[in-house]
Amino acid sequence: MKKVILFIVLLTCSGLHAQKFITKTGETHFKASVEAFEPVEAINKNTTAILNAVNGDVAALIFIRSFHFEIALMEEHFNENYMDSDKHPKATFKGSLSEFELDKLLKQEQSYPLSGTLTIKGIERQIATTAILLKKDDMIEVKAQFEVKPEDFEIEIPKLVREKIAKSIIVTLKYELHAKI
Amino acid sequence: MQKSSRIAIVVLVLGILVFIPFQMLYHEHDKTEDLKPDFEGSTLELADLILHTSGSYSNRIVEISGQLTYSDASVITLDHRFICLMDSNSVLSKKMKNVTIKGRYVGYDDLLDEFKLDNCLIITSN
Repeated sequence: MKKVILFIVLLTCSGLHAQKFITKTGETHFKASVEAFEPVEAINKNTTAILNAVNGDVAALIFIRSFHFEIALMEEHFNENYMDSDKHPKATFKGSLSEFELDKLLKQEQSYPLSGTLTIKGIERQIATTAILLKKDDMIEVKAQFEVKPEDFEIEIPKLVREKIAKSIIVTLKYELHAKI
Repeated sequence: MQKSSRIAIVVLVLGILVFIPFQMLYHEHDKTEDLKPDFEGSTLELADLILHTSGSYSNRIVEISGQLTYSDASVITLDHRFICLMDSNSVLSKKMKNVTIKGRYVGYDDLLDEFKLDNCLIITSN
């Protein structure tokens, strides 16, 4: 009987003490709109992200083709002319949340410094921002925002549309990470 | 030619000149149900082709069959490794066991050793 109770207790608590928290359907959004022109924004609901709860390491993988635009032609140009998605199908992030301790996570939002390497089109750039974390039962919600410049990743914007695309692109992410047992 | 006929022709030509570029600029996204699959078979066969041959299936439409191992409001998983992001119109049921889906293969996720698809539709299930 004691063994059964112990097993149930372990099973109940295992979510809270999992070593890894993951999502396969994280939402990554970017906005490169300029006022008075057609909105240039897209969302990817297919992002993989992993948080190592022991040391705060974070890894994420995005398939560029899964960015969805409202306007189909904009999506075609994004993949073929700007991102070269056939040659570079993935963007990745590898970094860490500083001062992260699973046991200190609260049900209220808490800020953690997030830094790491963002790789787009095979080009690596350092990113530093603040992530907002929130614990909900056995799930951790991570939200963050940072800006990137197209030229940092050798994304050439033709002169004809340069005025219609923001010089700095705002990337917003919202991941609901579940305990991997 | 009468003046009214000339006006009608000018209006028609102008209409065509506006309509065609508008259609080109704002055409709809491709619908999965209208696209012919480039691959039809089991999840195991597709996994083998992706991992062991040089041909790329990225951005191709595939129709794959497998055992349903997970489902929620937006995603189903076939045979633990094929993660299928469903089209918003798809109806999911937890009672399904064996499923054939049609969707766009987007790539191999080397973080989790899984294969990802989006715009998926259920073709058959039992």
